[in-house]
Amino acid sequence: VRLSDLVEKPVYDQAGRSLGQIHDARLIQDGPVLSSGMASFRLHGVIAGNMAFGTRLGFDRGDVRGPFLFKWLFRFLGRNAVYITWGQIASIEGGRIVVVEPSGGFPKVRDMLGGSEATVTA
Amino acid sequence: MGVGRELWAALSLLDRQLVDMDGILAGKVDDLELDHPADPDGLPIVTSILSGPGVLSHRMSPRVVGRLIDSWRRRRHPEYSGPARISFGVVKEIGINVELTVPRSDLCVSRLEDRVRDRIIGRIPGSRRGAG
Repeated sequence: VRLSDLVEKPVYDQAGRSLGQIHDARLIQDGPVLSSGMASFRLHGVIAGNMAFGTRLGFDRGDVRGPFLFKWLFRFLGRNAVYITWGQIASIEGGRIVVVEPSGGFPKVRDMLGGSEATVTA
Repeated sequence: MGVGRELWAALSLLDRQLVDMDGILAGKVDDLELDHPADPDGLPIVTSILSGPGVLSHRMSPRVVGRLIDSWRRRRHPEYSGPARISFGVVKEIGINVELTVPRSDLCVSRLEDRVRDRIIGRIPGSRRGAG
């Protein structure tokens, strides 16, 4: 699979409800060791939502701090963006991604990533 | 790069400049290739960086433009073996640029540039003279 098979592709739950598009993918360097002696990156999850611009600039994550007005605006516009773990992706077919929604719904990105990336759990 | 580092692929990797071991620019990160592990519950592992014009067209419109360009290229150049595939094992550092531990000549990222040099620029009278 390529990253481009995921990013900017529409996401639906199993009932056919649209969750927007995938905007970014979260990689963590915790995989098998590569020839360089470094651990490889593994794909843990993705961000999906309707407003892409602020996400592509990183305004919904803790490491982009300002300007305040932009951060507030983009976080407001992207308030419905959700974090989907790799295990919740049921299929990737024909440019369409189907996910399995947990009983309590997907966690909102702004709740998980607004302060620090370290608070995210896979 | 320390173990356990976290990054966002589109924000921190896509479209970043590749820099070889000698500090020479070696293309851009146009896409990433991930392999599924044998374990069905395992997470995909980033194995390669893809770089080159064919990859970018795939990103922009995989269904139409990317496939058209790929099929045209394969008909016209049967030796074409797909985009430049750079193993993630040669990545030294990910920052503003993506630094590599190998020279640009080992990466096959400049095939288009080489063809233009050999077939067009090289045929212009005087082009074989070295600059300076």
